[in-house]
Order: sequence, then structure tokens, then C-alpha cells
Amino acid sequence: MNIIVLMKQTFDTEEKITIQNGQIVKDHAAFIINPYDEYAIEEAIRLKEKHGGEVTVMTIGSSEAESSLRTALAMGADKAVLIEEDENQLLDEYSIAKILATAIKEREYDIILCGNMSVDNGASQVGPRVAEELDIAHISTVVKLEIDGELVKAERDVEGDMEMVESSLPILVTAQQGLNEPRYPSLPGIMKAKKKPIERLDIEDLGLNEQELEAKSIAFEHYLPPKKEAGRILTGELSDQVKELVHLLRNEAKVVSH
Amino acid sequence: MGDMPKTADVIIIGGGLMGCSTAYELAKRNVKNIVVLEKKSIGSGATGQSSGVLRGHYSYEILTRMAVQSLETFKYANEILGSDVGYQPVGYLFGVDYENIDTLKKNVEMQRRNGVNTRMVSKEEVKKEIWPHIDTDQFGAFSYEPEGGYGDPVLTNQAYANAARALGVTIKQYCGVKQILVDKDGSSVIGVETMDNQTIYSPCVIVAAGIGTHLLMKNIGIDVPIKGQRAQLVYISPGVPMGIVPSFGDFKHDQYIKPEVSSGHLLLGNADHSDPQYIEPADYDADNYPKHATEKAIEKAIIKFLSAFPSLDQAKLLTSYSAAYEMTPDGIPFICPAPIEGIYLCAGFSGHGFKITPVVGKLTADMVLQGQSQQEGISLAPFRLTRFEENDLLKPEHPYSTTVNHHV
Amino acid sequence: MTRILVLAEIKNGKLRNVSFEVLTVARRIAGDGEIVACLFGSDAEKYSNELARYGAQKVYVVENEALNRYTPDGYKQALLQVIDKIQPQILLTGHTSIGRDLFPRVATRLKAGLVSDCTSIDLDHDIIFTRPIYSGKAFQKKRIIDGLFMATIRPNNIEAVENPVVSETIKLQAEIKELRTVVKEIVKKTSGKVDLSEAKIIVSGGRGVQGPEGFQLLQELADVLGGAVGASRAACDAGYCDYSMQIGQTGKVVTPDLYIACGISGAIQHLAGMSNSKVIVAINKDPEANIFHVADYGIVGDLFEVVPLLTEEFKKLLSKNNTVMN
Repeated sequence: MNIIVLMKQTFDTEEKITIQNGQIVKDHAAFIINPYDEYAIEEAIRLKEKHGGEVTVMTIGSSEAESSLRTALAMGADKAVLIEEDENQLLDEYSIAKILATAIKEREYDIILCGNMSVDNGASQVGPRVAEELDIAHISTVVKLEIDGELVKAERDVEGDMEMVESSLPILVTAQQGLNEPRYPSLPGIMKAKKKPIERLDIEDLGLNEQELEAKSIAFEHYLPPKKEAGRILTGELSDQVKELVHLLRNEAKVVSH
Repeated sequence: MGDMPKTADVIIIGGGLMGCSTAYELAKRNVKNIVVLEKKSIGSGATGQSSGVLRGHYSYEILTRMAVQSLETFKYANEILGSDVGYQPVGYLFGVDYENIDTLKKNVEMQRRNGVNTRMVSKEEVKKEIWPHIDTDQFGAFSYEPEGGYGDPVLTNQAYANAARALGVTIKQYCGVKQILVDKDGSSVIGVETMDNQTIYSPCVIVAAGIGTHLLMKNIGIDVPIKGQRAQLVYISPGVPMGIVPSFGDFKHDQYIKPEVSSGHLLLGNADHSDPQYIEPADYDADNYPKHATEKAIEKAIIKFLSAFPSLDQAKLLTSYSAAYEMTPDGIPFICPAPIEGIYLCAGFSGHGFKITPVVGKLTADMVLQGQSQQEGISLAPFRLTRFEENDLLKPEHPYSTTVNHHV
Repeated sequence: MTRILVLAEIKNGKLRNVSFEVLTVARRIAGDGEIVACLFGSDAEKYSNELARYGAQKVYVVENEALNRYTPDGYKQALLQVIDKIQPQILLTGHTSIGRDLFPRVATRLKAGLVSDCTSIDLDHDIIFTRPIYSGKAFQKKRIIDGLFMATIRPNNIEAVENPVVSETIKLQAEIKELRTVVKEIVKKTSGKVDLSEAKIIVSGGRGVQGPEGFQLLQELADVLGGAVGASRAACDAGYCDYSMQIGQTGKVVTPDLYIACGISGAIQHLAGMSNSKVIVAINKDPEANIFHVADYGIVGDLFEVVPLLTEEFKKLLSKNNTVMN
């Protein structure tokens, strides 16, 4: 089974965000694999362990993204593809999906896995868009996946309810939390990963012209939410505090009425 | 919490381990009106980054003595400080290569002479009784301290802070010091000015501010040679249950390993300081310091670990982190008066302060109140600021040959 | 003339509130343009009047059995046919399970830009889309460069305002061909409970809740308030509750009117999922807990004591008339 995983390097979820000149400051930030993509990588490795085959992880990013690809290789992926972005070219979800789909088309695949969203941009677009570019089916926010021959059985998290879906290969699946528990890379795995191949591509290598890639949307301003003022810690007897809280919620905050 | 006091008998800059243990010792000796000023929260600086290893093993006799005396406080923290400090007597194993067998023996003798519960252990005993996964063949010899292990630096810090508060000490958190104030001719201290522009007057200021000590002192014309040195630590899961294993100073590979009893995880710390990454105090910004180890550092740690523990090939990398040691040129701290009347230094612990915290607090209190050490066999002389210009540095009698390590 | 198409949704036999919210947004940016809604499923027609109440001047219904359950292929085909018919310039829906699954596919098919998870859309020469990034730690403003404007709108974020209009319902016979995914079964896990992402009041528990039994206490409080129960990752990881209840960076991002955090320390990843709530109440034993930094009101105390007292107090307050303000 040929498995492709689309992944993205994101800010460590513990990072504070700072903005300078309307842009997010990325210096000094610690980076991680987007947590939802980690589920996708783990699932890919499990599928390989069960059905055989090969796992290729693919990302679009700067050269720093290599460290995240290495982590995926250390977890057990076989190959990695780094599509290096040109900082001057504006890319949105449309263009990203176009680039990934073009890179995927040149390869053999049975299943494509990716996170259902990234924790930085949070748009939840790239997975379904790539499936559309490739004209294959997709199943999103999957928490359980089984493959039997060509048959694909998945459980989707649909706003808390569980949807049982069937389809067939080839397919694109987006991972939701709960799909699995991603493994930590083993120490020998980390050493072996250093020798695994990372293929580097420029967007130009894919034969796409600029027009085909043109972003359809642009972010022109970034800002931080207003700082919350310090709240009030109630004091006194516990039962009085509770009475006061109910009073405050009703009369001051006005979020509960009678 | 109350308002900021206008005056204090003693101001301590820094609410880490050293600042709080000093505050506690001073308060115990009836000093009133002690104010500790902490820039962030208690234990947020070097304390929170400490691995917490407890050992008596030093090649410096004076540090051995300090560690031995301090261990009593860790062992009986509940009785002495009134709360637990996370002391885990998992033992401390120390291993060297073939070249250093004799040095180890001599140091163990010295340590025993000074009261460390330690002895040489055979490789067979290590294999059978202490840590079966170690490939002992590579090692020349081992020593073992059954009462060594580790403690929790943050808990220890909190225990000292709480004990000090109970004795009337005021600890102000999120209250950094902008500058130390001195009189017109610069000969004696008059107080400090805080970051929010409040002045507290005091005839006595103890600077226990880690790397920050350098800049505070530089601003009043005193050069205290402390700079940052990057420490990179790696967390792993051994992949197999191992039961209780000791803290391990692996000086064949210049790496130390600290177990976590609760999780079974291991912390790998680098002890090879031959290629230090220094950072100037002016450039050090804890908030923007790299939070994780570099790939290269992780790789090095893995290679060393797998070499010492070849059977643990299922071990997994959990995470890494990166911090800064407050290094002095010789790795020995400053516990001394500064050349300005009323200012004392208690800083520069160079990555090995935790295990001597209790005695450092006592020594600093001695220095402030009596002008000299009251601790038996422990002179303050080696910790003076002028030791470099006087070319009179502390030297171990039996230094290990392979390590460029100040901490042992 | 601007024509805005809104894809409305039915859930559990009701139009979703988010559909009204989207219609409200559509009205705000439509100018003198036209607002058209569309709705899929074999009994879609009976909901069209309600859409008119929120300003849909036309409602296209595609009554096809193949659309009774959402599939990306089925909905995509139906929506493309409606789009083809009415040629909208703007296409909106809720950032719901359906919206986030369907709209990206349709956007790529139409070579269109899509702004997901908008918390507001404003008209200022151009249409400006505002959306949270980094799980609400920051915001960005976006615009569409050219082509069709598509956006999904975060539920429970913009107040739905009624705006009754005379409306025309148009039935469309859409051809739905081969569906590559088939929904075999839907297992309701949330039935009878208020949906987290649309809840006005959320009572949430962390590791301090100590177990599933503790969550029962929170459920009782939520029931009294007509709210939903959420959880921190720590509580889910500890097995106290299902991951479907998780609020945070990896989990749901919620913006209720009232968020009551019980035994939650306030890790930054959790704050990312709830810090934009209108009013935050924190109940925690540890006075130093980070959650108190974002809370409007805090009680330092044992949740096992506080929560039952709070439930009783609210019961008294709400006993006459069990309503919750919007």
C-alpha cells in the first residue's frame, strides 16, 4: 500500500504569539509537527505495519521544515518530500492544495492522510481541496480507520456524533483527535532517519505556472485579541461566594436571567 | 499581599533556591524585615531548570562537605522546613573509564573521609543489583551512594519560601530590580529601585540573581564574571520497565542520567563542556531563549545513551529542553561581599547549586551576620570574587583526566 | 446586483441556529442585493418559511433522498447545480461539520477563494473577513482577490437577527450521481444534550474533576442552565470523558456567553479554545492556577463543594422560568 501523508510544521502550541508590523513574529519560536498531522503520520505507519507498503511524508515549507520531516521519518515514515516555498509568492489554501496535488499526481498512491486542520491557520481546507484536485473521494475528521482490500471503513467525528462511512480506495482521509496515540520516535529510529532520503522540490519543478497557482485570498492584517482585564476573585464564606457569583452573573454580567 | 515596604533590613534580589534559603537562614537567626524580590515567580529562573540530582560525589573536598551537610536537609525536609522537597533516594552511581580508576578510588576515599555514604562497587554488582542495562564492560570502575538520587528543585524552593514566610520574610513576586542604589561616592549600598520605579532602602543587599547578577553589578561598576552557558537536556522513555534505577553520572561518556520515579522516564544531561555555547548576560532573555535542544545535541545524547545502554534500543525520545547555566570562569560560585559596603553576592552556581542549597543559605547568612563561615570545615575563601586576579583558584586534589567538567 | 447564496442546514429535525446567523451576516453585506438560501433533503421545503423570517428572499430546495444524509459528493453536486442556476457572487455557510467538509471541495472546483471560520464579515469598500488564527491567540483580516467569494462562519458568534421578508420557494430537481462515500449509520452521542459548539453556556471540567462521577456533577449544573459540558485535554487523556467533549487547541474552540471552568488549571492550549468566551468563571482549589488570569469571576475552592452549591443556587433562581438569555 502506497501511503502519502501531508503534513505541516506549526508553532509549538505553547508558544505565545507576538505581532510586529502586522505580521506574526516567527523568530525564536519552537516548531512542532501540526498535532493533527501527527495522527495522520501515526495512522499511516500503522497501515504500513499492517498491510505493507511505503509511507511518504510531504510538506510545503521553508528549509526549517526539514526537522519535522525528520521526526516523521524517525517515527517510521520511509521517504520525505519537501516542497520549498518561495517567500515572495503569495500562497493560500487554493494554491497549497494545487501544489500538493500536482506533486502527488506524479506518484503512486492508494491513500492520502492528513490532519483535519492545522493549529496555526485553522482553516480545515487543504485536505478536501486536494481530494477535489485529484478527483478522489475524501472522508474528514476520522477517528477510526480500517482498510480491507479496496474497502475503506471509517468513523467520523461529526460534532460529537459518530458517523460510520464506507468508501473505497483511492481516498483521502483527514485525521481527528482520537484516531490514535502518536508514537514517540525511538532513539535508533532517530539515528536511522538521518539516512533516509528527503527529496527537495521547488514549486517550479512541478511545472506549474504562476497563474495556475495564484492565490484567491490574501491576509492583509494580523492583530492580537484585546487583553482581558483581571477578574475578580470572590472571598468570604463559600456559600456566600456562590450566592454572590449567581448574583453577579445575573445582574452584572447578565448572562443568566430568570 | 500588601504594599511594597519602604525599607528593609535585608533585601535579597532573586527568589530562587539560593535567595530563599538565605532568607530562611537569616530569618531563623532573628533578622527582621527581610524582603525577597523576585522578577517572575519563585523558582522560575535557573532553579526551575535544574535537574535536581543529589550526590556527594565531588573531586573538590569543600563541595563534598557542603553536599554532605546539605543532604541532611533534603532527607529531613519535612521536619526542618515543614514540607516535602521530593527527595528520592534512588541512589547515585558514578562510572569512569579505565584511565580514571585510581582517581575515582582516591576521590571515594576523600568523600568517605568527609562523611559521604559511598563506596566502590564492582561491575558485577552494578549489573546485578543496581542497573542491569548498563554495558559495564566499557567502564573502568564505579562508585555508588545509596542515599544519593534526586530532589525536586521547585518544591525545595517553595519549601524554603514558605518556611521563610512563616518566619516573617516578605517575598514579592513579579517584582524585578531595575538597579541597586549606592551612595554618592559609591562606597556603600542604600537600597534598590524596582522595575516599577519604587525604592526600597536597606543597608544590606544580597544579590542572588543568577545570570542577572552580572548586569546588576556592572551597573554599579563591579565586574562579576558570570555568563550564560547553554544546557541541553533530553527526555526519553527507556521503552521497557526498569524499576528503581539510580541517578547516574556516566563519566565515560560525559553524560548524566536522572530517572523520574513516577513516570519511569530518564533525563539525559550533557556533562561534556569542552565546547561550551556561551551567552552574554546582556543578550540573555529567558523568554526568547531556545526552548528545546538542537538536533545535534539530541543526536549526541542518543549516541552516548545507546553506547552505555545498548540493550535499550526501544527507548523513545519524548522531548528536549534547553536552558542556561549561570557559569563562572572556574565553575565555582561567588559567595562573598562585593567591594561596595553592604552588598553580598550569592550567585554563579554553574549548574551544580541544587545539592548544596541548604549550606549555601547558612554560609550566606554567616557571611552577612558574622563576616565569616560558621560551618565546620567550610571556608568562604574559595568563593571570593578576587580569586581570579589573585590567581588562587580552587583545585581538586584528584581531578579526573577526561572531563573538562567544573561540576565534579 | 450582489447575489448571496447561503447554504442552510437542518439538524435533528430543525434548522440550525448558525444558518440564521449566516443569513444575518448576509443581510449586513448584501446592500440592495439579493439573499438566496438553499436547503437539501427530502423534506426541505417545510423549513423555507423559517428562512424567510431571517431574510432569505428566495429559497431553493433540492428534495432528493440521496441528500438526506450529508456526503461530500451528494452535497457538492446539489450545490453546484444551485450555483449554476443563480450565479451568486458570494457563497456562505456555517463553519460546521458540513461547511468545513464541503466548502473547500466546492471552492477548488470553482477555482475560488474561501475564508474559513469567520467571526465577522464587514463591508468596507471591499468585503473584509475576520477570522481567528492560532486557535484564537491572534486574528487576521482577509480579502478575496478575485472570483467567487466563499466563507464559512463560526457558529454562536454573530447574533441571529430576525428580518422577515416575502419569500419564494423554488424546488430544484438536481441530479445526484454516484456517491463515492456512503454513510452507513450515525451513532448519536450527543442526543438530548446541547451541542458544545452552539452552547450559550458551557460547564467544563479538568483533571481536578477526578473522574467520570465528577463530570456527573458538572452535567447537573449544565442541565439546570440549559448548557453543555466540556472538558480539558487533561480530563480526556485521563479517561474521565470522551474526546468529543474536549475544548482547546486540539479540540473544539468555543465562544459561549458563559464558560464555567471547574478544576481546570488553564494550560495555554486550553485557553486557546475558550478564552474568547464572553464571561468566564473559574473554580479551582489552587489560587495560583493560570485559569484565574482569564477569569472574570473566580472562586478559590473545592469544586466538589462549590458546584453542587452553585447548582442549587441556580435552581432557585431559574425555577420559575427556565430561560437563558441570548
